[in-house]
Amino acid sequence: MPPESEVQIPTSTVTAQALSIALEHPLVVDLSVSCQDYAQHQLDERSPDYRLGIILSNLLKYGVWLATAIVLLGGILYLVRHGMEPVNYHIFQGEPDMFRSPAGVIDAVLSGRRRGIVQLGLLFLIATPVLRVLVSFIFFIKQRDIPYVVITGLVISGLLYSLLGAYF
Amino acid sequence: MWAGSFLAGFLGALTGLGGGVVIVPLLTSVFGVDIRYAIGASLVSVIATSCAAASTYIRQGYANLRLGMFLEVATTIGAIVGALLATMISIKLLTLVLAIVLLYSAYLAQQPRSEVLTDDAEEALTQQLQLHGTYPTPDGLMSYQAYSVPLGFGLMSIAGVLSGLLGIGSGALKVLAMDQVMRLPFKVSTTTSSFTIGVTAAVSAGVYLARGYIDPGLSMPVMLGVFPGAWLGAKALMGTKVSVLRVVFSVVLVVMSFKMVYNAFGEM
Repeated sequence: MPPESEVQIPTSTVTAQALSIALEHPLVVDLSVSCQDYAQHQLDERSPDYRLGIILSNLLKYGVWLATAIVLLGGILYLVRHGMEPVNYHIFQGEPDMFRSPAGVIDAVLSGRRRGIVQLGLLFLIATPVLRVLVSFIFFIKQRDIPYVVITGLVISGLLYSLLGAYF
Repeated sequence: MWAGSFLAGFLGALTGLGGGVVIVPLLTSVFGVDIRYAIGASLVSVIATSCAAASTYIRQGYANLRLGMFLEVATTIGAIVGALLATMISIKLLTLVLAIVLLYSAYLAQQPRSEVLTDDAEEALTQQLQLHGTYPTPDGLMSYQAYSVPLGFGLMSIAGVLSGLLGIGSGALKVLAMDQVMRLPFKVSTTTSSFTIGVTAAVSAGVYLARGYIDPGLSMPVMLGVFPGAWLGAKALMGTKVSVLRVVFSVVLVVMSFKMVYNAFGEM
Protein backbone atom coordinates (compact mmCIF):
# COMPACT_ATOMS: atom_id res chain seq x y z
CA MET A 1 0.00 0.00 0.00
CA PRO A 2 1.15 3.57 -0.61
CA PRO A 3 2.06 5.97 2.21
CA GLU A 4 -1.45 7.45 2.50
CA SER A 5 -2.67 4.37 4.29
CA GLU A 6 -0.30 5.09 7.17
CA VAL A 7 -1.60 8.62 7.66
CA GLN A 8 -3.47 8.61 10.95
CA ILE A 9 -4.93 11.58 12.80
CA PRO A 10 -4.87 10.55 16.47
CA THR A 11 -6.75 13.62 17.73
CA SER A 12 -9.77 12.94 15.60
CA THR A 13 -10.87 9.35 15.44
CA VAL A 14 -13.80 10.31 13.29
CA THR A 15 -11.53 11.67 10.56
CA ALA A 16 -9.27 8.65 10.78
CA GLN A 17 -12.24 6.34 10.51
CA ALA A 18 -13.61 8.20 7.52
CA LEU A 19 -10.19 8.13 5.92
CA SER A 20 -9.77 4.40 6.41
CA ILE A 21 -13.21 3.77 4.94
CA ALA A 22 -12.38 6.00 2.01
CA LEU A 23 -9.04 4.30 1.45
CA GLU A 24 -10.65 0.88 1.36
CA HIS A 25 -13.01 2.00 -1.39
CA PRO A 26 -12.24 -0.16 -4.45
CA LEU A 27 -11.73 2.91 -6.59
CA VAL A 28 -9.13 4.40 -4.26
CA VAL A 29 -7.32 1.08 -3.88
CA ASP A 30 -7.24 0.74 -7.63
CA LEU A 31 -5.93 4.29 -8.08
CA SER A 32 -3.27 3.96 -5.39
CA VAL A 33 -1.87 0.73 -6.76
CA SER A 34 -1.87 2.31 -10.19
CA CYS A 35 0.71 4.78 -8.88
CA GLN A 36 3.27 2.01 -8.48
CA ASP A 37 5.49 0.97 -11.29
CA TYR A 38 4.76 -2.52 -12.28
CA ALA A 39 7.04 -4.93 -13.98
CA GLN A 40 6.90 -5.03 -17.76
CA HIS A 41 4.09 -7.43 -18.49
CA GLN A 42 4.63 -10.44 -20.65
CA LEU A 43 2.85 -10.45 -23.97
CA ASP A 44 2.90 -13.24 -26.49
CA GLU A 45 5.17 -11.67 -29.06
CA ARG A 46 4.24 -14.12 -31.76
CA SER A 47 0.50 -13.45 -31.58
CA PRO A 48 -0.82 -11.65 -34.68
CA ASP A 49 -2.70 -9.08 -32.57
CA TYR A 50 0.51 -8.14 -30.81
CA ARG A 51 2.27 -7.62 -34.14
CA LEU A 52 -0.63 -5.51 -35.40
CA GLY A 53 -0.41 -3.45 -32.21
CA ILE A 54 3.27 -2.71 -32.76
CA ILE A 55 2.66 -1.78 -36.41
CA LEU A 56 -0.22 0.56 -35.54
CA SER A 57 1.61 2.08 -32.59
CA ASN A 58 4.57 2.98 -34.79
CA LEU A 59 2.34 4.22 -37.59
CA LEU A 60 0.47 6.59 -35.27
CA LYS A 61 3.67 7.76 -33.65
CA TYR A 62 5.53 8.63 -36.85
CA GLY A 63 2.39 9.97 -38.52
CA VAL A 64 1.70 12.50 -35.80
CA TRP A 65 5.39 13.44 -35.55
CA LEU A 66 5.60 14.09 -39.28
CA ALA A 67 2.40 16.13 -39.28
CA THR A 68 3.57 18.19 -36.30
CA ALA A 69 6.96 18.85 -37.91
CA ILE A 70 5.30 20.14 -41.09
CA VAL A 71 2.85 22.32 -39.14
CA LEU A 72 5.72 23.72 -37.07
CA LEU A 73 7.78 24.50 -40.16
CA GLY A 74 4.86 26.16 -41.92
CA GLY A 75 3.93 27.99 -38.74
CA ILE A 76 7.38 29.47 -38.25
CA LEU A 77 7.57 30.58 -41.89
CA TYR A 78 4.08 32.06 -41.65
CA LEU A 79 4.74 33.95 -38.43
CA VAL A 80 8.03 35.36 -39.77
CA ARG A 81 6.10 37.09 -42.53
CA HIS A 82 2.60 37.65 -41.14
CA GLY A 83 3.13 37.55 -37.36
CA MET A 84 2.22 41.22 -36.85
CA GLU A 85 -0.99 41.23 -38.87
CA PRO A 86 -4.26 41.34 -36.94
CA VAL A 87 -6.44 38.26 -37.28
CA ASN A 88 -10.19 38.07 -36.94
CA TYR A 89 -11.81 34.79 -35.96
CA HIS A 90 -14.85 36.36 -34.33
CA ILE A 91 -16.72 36.39 -37.59
CA PHE A 92 -16.85 33.24 -39.64
CA GLN A 93 -15.80 33.81 -43.23
CA GLY A 94 -14.78 30.31 -44.23
CA GLU A 95 -11.45 29.41 -45.69
CA PRO A 96 -10.52 30.26 -49.27
CA ASP A 97 -11.24 27.43 -51.68
CA MET A 98 -7.58 26.60 -51.98
CA PHE A 99 -7.48 25.43 -48.33
CA ARG A 100 -10.57 23.28 -48.64
CA SER A 101 -9.34 20.33 -50.66
CA PRO A 102 -6.16 18.24 -50.67
CA ALA A 103 -5.44 19.21 -54.30
CA GLY A 104 -5.91 22.87 -53.49
CA VAL A 105 -3.57 22.63 -50.51
CA ILE A 106 -0.87 21.03 -52.63
CA ASP A 107 -1.24 23.80 -55.21
CA ALA A 108 -0.89 26.35 -52.42
CA VAL A 109 2.29 24.71 -51.14
CA LEU A 110 3.80 24.54 -54.62
CA SER A 111 3.05 28.20 -55.21
CA GLY A 112 4.96 28.99 -52.03
CA ARG A 113 2.06 29.91 -49.72
CA ARG A 114 3.13 29.48 -46.12
CA ARG A 115 -0.34 28.84 -44.73
CA GLY A 116 -0.50 26.06 -47.31
CA ILE A 117 2.37 24.27 -45.55
CA VAL A 118 0.48 24.37 -42.25
CA GLN A 119 -2.63 23.04 -43.99
CA LEU A 120 -0.54 20.26 -45.57
CA GLY A 121 0.61 19.22 -42.09
CA LEU A 122 -3.03 19.12 -40.99
CA LEU A 123 -3.83 16.90 -43.99
CA PHE A 124 -1.06 14.51 -42.90
CA LEU A 125 -2.61 14.50 -39.44
CA ILE A 126 -6.07 13.66 -40.78
CA ALA A 127 -4.53 10.96 -42.98
CA THR A 128 -2.82 9.20 -40.07
CA PRO A 129 -5.91 7.54 -38.49
CA VAL A 130 -7.23 6.80 -41.99
CA LEU A 131 -3.98 5.02 -42.83
CA ARG A 132 -4.24 3.19 -39.51
CA VAL A 133 -7.61 1.70 -40.51
CA LEU A 134 -6.28 0.87 -43.98
CA VAL A 135 -3.27 -0.99 -42.54
CA SER A 136 -5.57 -2.93 -40.17
CA PHE A 137 -7.82 -3.81 -43.11
CA ILE A 138 -4.88 -5.26 -45.08
CA PHE A 139 -3.65 -7.04 -41.97
CA PHE A 140 -7.01 -8.76 -41.39
CA ILE A 141 -7.22 -9.78 -45.06
CA LYS A 142 -3.84 -11.47 -44.69
CA GLN A 143 -5.06 -13.17 -41.52
CA ARG A 144 -8.27 -14.24 -43.30
CA ASP A 145 -10.15 -12.84 -40.32
CA ILE A 146 -13.46 -12.34 -42.15
CA PRO A 147 -15.50 -10.53 -39.44
CA TYR A 148 -12.78 -7.94 -39.02
CA VAL A 149 -12.23 -7.56 -42.75
CA VAL A 150 -15.91 -6.58 -42.92
CA ILE A 151 -15.65 -4.30 -39.87
CA THR A 152 -12.57 -2.39 -41.01
CA GLY A 153 -13.99 -2.35 -44.55
CA LEU A 154 -17.11 -0.58 -43.27
CA VAL A 155 -15.02 1.98 -41.42
CA ILE A 156 -12.94 2.62 -44.55
CA SER A 157 -16.02 3.14 -46.70
CA GLY A 158 -17.35 5.60 -44.13
CA LEU A 159 -14.06 7.46 -44.17
CA LEU A 160 -13.86 7.50 -47.96
CA TYR A 161 -17.46 8.66 -48.21
CA SER A 162 -16.84 11.64 -46.00
CA LEU A 163 -13.35 12.51 -47.26
CA LEU A 164 -14.15 12.20 -50.96
CA GLY A 165 -17.91 12.73 -50.93
CA ALA A 166 -17.41 16.29 -49.73
CA TYR A 167 -15.93 17.23 -53.11
CA PHE A 168 -18.38 15.61 -55.51
CA MET B 1 -3.67 29.53 -26.49
CA TRP B 2 -0.67 27.22 -26.64
CA ALA B 3 -0.85 26.56 -22.89
CA GLY B 4 -4.58 25.89 -23.11
CA SER B 5 -4.00 23.43 -25.95
CA PHE B 6 -1.24 21.73 -24.00
CA LEU B 7 -3.64 21.29 -21.09
CA ALA B 8 -6.34 20.04 -23.47
CA GLY B 9 -4.00 17.41 -24.90
CA PHE B 10 -2.89 16.33 -21.45
CA LEU B 11 -6.42 16.00 -20.07
CA GLY B 12 -7.76 14.54 -23.28
CA ALA B 13 -5.18 11.76 -23.38
CA LEU B 14 -5.49 10.96 -19.69
CA THR B 15 -9.27 10.78 -19.54
CA GLY B 16 -9.97 9.38 -23.00
CA LEU B 17 -12.25 12.35 -23.65
CA GLY B 18 -10.15 13.91 -26.40
CA GLY B 19 -8.90 17.47 -26.29
CA GLY B 20 -11.94 18.94 -28.04
CA VAL B 21 -14.06 19.12 -24.94
CA VAL B 22 -11.60 21.71 -23.61
CA ILE B 23 -10.61 23.35 -26.92
CA VAL B 24 -14.08 24.36 -28.15
CA PRO B 25 -15.09 26.23 -24.97
CA LEU B 26 -11.60 27.69 -24.66
CA LEU B 27 -11.66 29.18 -28.14
CA THR B 28 -15.27 30.33 -28.11
CA SER B 29 -15.63 31.66 -24.57
CA VAL B 30 -12.08 32.84 -23.77
CA PHE B 31 -10.88 33.95 -27.22
CA GLY B 32 -14.25 34.76 -28.76
CA VAL B 33 -13.65 32.62 -31.85
CA ASP B 34 -16.65 31.68 -34.03
CA ILE B 35 -17.82 28.21 -33.02
CA ARG B 36 -17.31 26.84 -36.54
CA TYR B 37 -13.61 27.77 -36.50
CA ALA B 38 -13.43 26.39 -32.96
CA ILE B 39 -14.91 23.07 -34.07
CA GLY B 40 -12.42 22.83 -36.92
CA ALA B 41 -9.49 23.50 -34.59
CA SER B 42 -10.79 21.08 -31.99
CA LEU B 43 -11.07 18.26 -34.53
CA VAL B 44 -7.41 18.79 -35.27
CA SER B 45 -6.66 18.62 -31.55
CA VAL B 46 -8.70 15.45 -31.11
CA ILE B 47 -6.86 13.64 -33.92
CA ALA B 48 -3.48 14.73 -32.55
CA THR B 49 -4.44 13.63 -29.02
CA SER B 50 -5.74 10.32 -30.25
CA CYS B 51 -2.70 9.46 -32.37
CA ALA B 52 -0.15 10.47 -29.76
CA ALA B 53 -1.94 8.80 -26.85
CA ALA B 54 -3.09 5.65 -28.65
CA SER B 55 0.45 4.96 -29.84
CA THR B 56 1.53 4.72 -26.19
CA TYR B 57 -1.58 2.89 -24.97
CA ILE B 58 -1.28 0.17 -27.62
CA ARG B 59 2.32 -0.44 -26.63
CA GLN B 60 1.44 -0.58 -22.93
CA GLY B 61 -1.30 -3.12 -23.65
CA TYR B 62 -4.25 -1.09 -22.36
CA ALA B 63 -6.16 -0.27 -25.54
CA ASN B 64 -8.15 -3.11 -27.11
CA LEU B 65 -7.60 -2.97 -30.88
CA ARG B 66 -10.43 -5.27 -31.93
CA LEU B 67 -12.95 -3.62 -29.64
CA GLY B 68 -11.84 -0.21 -30.87
CA MET B 69 -12.21 -1.16 -34.52
CA PHE B 70 -15.60 -2.75 -33.99
CA LEU B 71 -16.93 0.33 -32.23
CA GLU B 72 -15.45 2.58 -34.92
CA VAL B 73 -18.13 1.27 -37.29
CA ALA B 74 -20.78 2.84 -35.04
CA THR B 75 -18.90 6.07 -34.45
CA THR B 76 -17.92 6.53 -38.11
CA ILE B 77 -21.47 6.26 -39.39
CA GLY B 78 -22.69 8.43 -36.53
CA ALA B 79 -20.07 11.08 -37.27
CA ILE B 80 -21.13 11.30 -40.93
CA VAL B 81 -24.74 11.83 -39.88
CA GLY B 82 -23.69 14.41 -37.29
CA ALA B 83 -21.49 16.37 -39.67
CA LEU B 84 -24.27 16.51 -42.26
CA LEU B 85 -26.74 17.77 -39.64
CA ALA B 86 -24.35 20.43 -38.36
CA THR B 87 -24.82 22.80 -41.28
CA MET B 88 -28.60 22.62 -40.98
CA ILE B 89 -28.69 23.54 -37.32
CA SER B 90 -28.53 27.07 -35.94
CA ILE B 91 -25.44 28.13 -34.02
CA LYS B 92 -27.43 28.94 -30.89
CA LEU B 93 -28.99 25.52 -30.84
CA LEU B 94 -25.57 23.98 -31.46
CA THR B 95 -24.13 25.92 -28.53
CA LEU B 96 -26.98 24.83 -26.29
CA VAL B 97 -26.51 21.19 -27.26
CA LEU B 98 -22.80 21.48 -26.58
CA ALA B 99 -23.45 23.01 -23.16
CA ILE B 100 -25.81 20.17 -22.27
CA VAL B 101 -23.25 17.60 -23.43
CA LEU B 102 -20.58 19.28 -21.29
CA LEU B 103 -22.82 19.27 -18.22
CA TYR B 104 -23.71 15.66 -18.81
CA SER B 105 -20.02 14.81 -19.28
CA ALA B 106 -19.28 16.52 -15.97
CA TYR B 107 -21.97 14.47 -14.28
CA LEU B 108 -20.71 11.24 -15.83
CA ALA B 109 -17.15 11.93 -14.72
CA GLN B 110 -18.35 11.80 -11.11
CA GLN B 111 -20.14 8.48 -11.42
CA PRO B 112 -18.40 5.67 -9.55
CA ARG B 113 -17.45 2.78 -11.77
CA SER B 114 -17.05 -0.75 -10.56
CA GLU B 115 -13.87 -2.55 -11.42
CA VAL B 116 -15.26 -5.97 -10.46
CA LEU B 117 -14.46 -8.77 -12.83
CA THR B 118 -17.06 -11.49 -13.02
CA ASP B 119 -16.64 -14.94 -14.44
CA ASP B 120 -19.85 -15.17 -16.45
CA ALA B 121 -19.84 -17.17 -19.63
CA GLU B 122 -18.96 -15.23 -22.75
CA GLU B 123 -21.82 -13.89 -24.81
CA ALA B 124 -22.03 -15.28 -28.33
CA LEU B 125 -21.29 -11.98 -30.04
CA THR B 126 -18.35 -11.29 -27.74
CA GLN B 127 -16.91 -14.66 -28.60
CA GLN B 128 -17.49 -14.29 -32.31
CA LEU B 129 -15.81 -10.89 -32.47
CA GLN B 130 -13.10 -11.80 -29.95
CA LEU B 131 -13.98 -8.81 -27.78
CA HIS B 132 -11.98 -9.93 -24.82
CA GLY B 133 -8.43 -9.35 -23.78
CA THR B 134 -5.99 -8.73 -21.01
CA TYR B 135 -4.64 -5.56 -19.50
CA PRO B 136 -1.71 -4.86 -17.19
CA THR B 137 -2.36 -4.55 -13.47
CA PRO B 138 0.00 -4.75 -10.49
CA ASP B 139 -0.95 -8.43 -10.14
CA GLY B 140 0.02 -9.21 -13.70
CA LEU B 141 -2.23 -9.45 -16.70
CA MET B 142 -5.92 -9.35 -15.90
CA SER B 143 -8.39 -10.75 -18.39
CA TYR B 144 -11.71 -9.16 -19.20
CA GLN B 145 -14.51 -9.42 -21.74
CA ALA B 146 -17.19 -7.21 -23.19
CA TYR B 147 -20.87 -7.53 -22.24
CA SER B 148 -24.05 -6.08 -23.81
CA VAL B 149 -22.28 -5.50 -27.11
CA PRO B 150 -25.39 -4.35 -29.10
CA LEU B 151 -26.33 -1.73 -26.48
CA GLY B 152 -22.75 -0.48 -26.31
CA PHE B 153 -22.72 -0.30 -30.10
CA GLY B 154 -25.91 1.79 -30.08
CA LEU B 155 -24.54 4.23 -27.53
CA MET B 156 -21.40 4.52 -29.64
CA SER B 157 -23.52 5.57 -32.64
CA ILE B 158 -24.98 8.41 -30.59
CA ALA B 159 -21.47 9.38 -29.50
CA GLY B 160 -20.50 9.47 -33.17
CA VAL B 161 -23.41 11.76 -34.10
CA LEU B 162 -22.48 14.14 -31.28
CA SER B 163 -18.85 14.25 -32.29
CA GLY B 164 -19.78 15.00 -35.89
CA LEU B 165 -22.24 17.63 -34.72
CA LEU B 166 -20.09 19.37 -32.16
CA GLY B 167 -16.50 18.62 -33.07
CA ILE B 168 -15.83 17.13 -29.67
CA GLY B 169 -14.63 13.56 -29.41
CA SER B 170 -17.65 12.93 -27.20
CA GLY B 171 -15.30 10.62 -25.35
CA ALA B 172 -17.51 10.82 -22.29
CA LEU B 173 -20.26 8.85 -24.02
CA LYS B 174 -17.75 6.37 -25.39
CA VAL B 175 -16.16 5.80 -22.01
CA LEU B 176 -19.66 5.44 -20.56
CA ALA B 177 -20.63 2.88 -23.18
CA MET B 178 -17.54 0.78 -22.62
CA ASP B 179 -17.27 1.19 -18.87
CA GLN B 180 -20.89 1.12 -17.68
CA VAL B 181 -22.66 -0.86 -20.41
CA MET B 182 -19.98 -3.22 -21.71
CA ARG B 183 -18.45 -3.50 -18.22
CA LEU B 184 -14.84 -3.16 -19.26
CA PRO B 185 -12.09 -2.06 -16.85
CA PHE B 186 -11.87 1.72 -16.58
CA LYS B 187 -8.40 2.06 -18.04
CA VAL B 188 -9.30 -0.16 -20.97
CA SER B 189 -12.35 2.04 -21.62
CA THR B 190 -10.46 5.34 -21.56
CA THR B 191 -7.52 4.13 -23.63
CA THR B 192 -9.70 2.39 -26.22
CA SER B 193 -11.73 5.60 -26.39
CA SER B 194 -8.52 7.50 -27.09
CA PHE B 195 -7.75 5.00 -29.82
CA THR B 196 -11.12 5.34 -31.58
CA ILE B 197 -11.76 9.10 -31.36
CA GLY B 198 -9.04 9.76 -33.95
CA VAL B 199 -10.97 7.95 -36.67
CA THR B 200 -14.28 9.54 -35.69
CA ALA B 201 -12.67 12.97 -35.78
CA ALA B 202 -11.02 12.23 -39.14
CA VAL B 203 -14.45 11.53 -40.62
CA SER B 204 -15.75 14.89 -39.46
CA ALA B 205 -12.50 16.66 -40.32
CA GLY B 206 -12.88 15.65 -43.97
CA VAL B 207 -16.32 17.24 -44.13
CA TYR B 208 -15.30 20.37 -42.23
CA LEU B 209 -12.17 20.84 -44.32
CA ALA B 210 -14.33 20.96 -47.42
CA ARG B 211 -16.61 23.52 -45.78
CA GLY B 212 -13.70 25.78 -44.86
CA TYR B 213 -13.92 25.35 -41.08
CA ILE B 214 -10.31 24.32 -40.61
CA ASP B 215 -8.07 27.38 -40.46
CA PRO B 216 -4.29 26.93 -40.58
CA GLY B 217 -3.56 29.99 -38.43
CA LEU B 218 -5.86 28.80 -35.68
CA SER B 219 -5.09 25.10 -35.89
CA MET B 220 -1.33 25.58 -35.73
CA PRO B 221 -0.98 26.74 -32.10
CA VAL B 222 -3.68 24.29 -31.06
CA MET B 223 -1.94 21.33 -32.62
CA LEU B 224 1.53 22.29 -31.39
CA GLY B 225 0.14 22.59 -27.86
CA VAL B 226 -1.99 19.45 -27.88
CA PHE B 227 0.71 17.16 -29.19
CA PRO B 228 3.25 17.40 -26.31
CA GLY B 229 0.34 17.57 -23.85
CA ALA B 230 -1.06 14.29 -25.14
CA TRP B 231 2.32 12.55 -24.96
CA LEU B 232 2.74 13.64 -21.37
CA GLY B 233 -0.83 12.67 -20.50
CA ALA B 234 -0.39 9.19 -21.97
CA LYS B 235 2.86 8.69 -20.07
CA ALA B 236 1.19 9.86 -16.87
CA LEU B 237 -1.78 7.50 -17.08
CA MET B 238 -0.32 5.00 -14.62
CA GLY B 239 0.87 7.56 -12.10
CA THR B 240 -1.88 10.17 -11.83
CA LYS B 241 -4.64 10.31 -9.26
CA VAL B 242 -7.60 10.13 -11.59
CA SER B 243 -10.04 10.87 -8.77
CA VAL B 244 -8.58 14.36 -8.28
CA LEU B 245 -8.38 14.93 -12.02
CA ARG B 246 -12.02 13.95 -12.50
CA VAL B 247 -13.23 16.54 -10.02
CA VAL B 248 -11.15 19.32 -11.62
CA PHE B 249 -12.28 18.25 -15.07
CA SER B 250 -15.96 18.25 -14.11
CA VAL B 251 -15.71 21.70 -12.52
CA VAL B 252 -14.03 23.08 -15.65
CA LEU B 253 -16.75 21.59 -17.86
CA VAL B 254 -19.57 23.02 -15.76
CA VAL B 255 -18.02 26.51 -15.71
CA MET B 256 -17.31 26.44 -19.45
CA SER B 257 -20.78 25.26 -20.40
CA PHE B 258 -22.49 28.01 -18.40
CA LYS B 259 -20.19 30.57 -19.96
CA MET B 260 -21.05 29.32 -23.44
CA VAL B 261 -24.78 29.52 -22.84
CA TYR B 262 -24.31 33.02 -21.45
CA ASN B 263 -22.33 34.08 -24.54
CA ALA B 264 -24.91 32.71 -26.94
CA PHE B 265 -28.07 33.86 -25.18
CA GLY B 266 -26.85 36.64 -22.90
CA GLU B 267 -27.35 39.42 -25.42
CA MET B 268 -30.97 38.53 -26.08
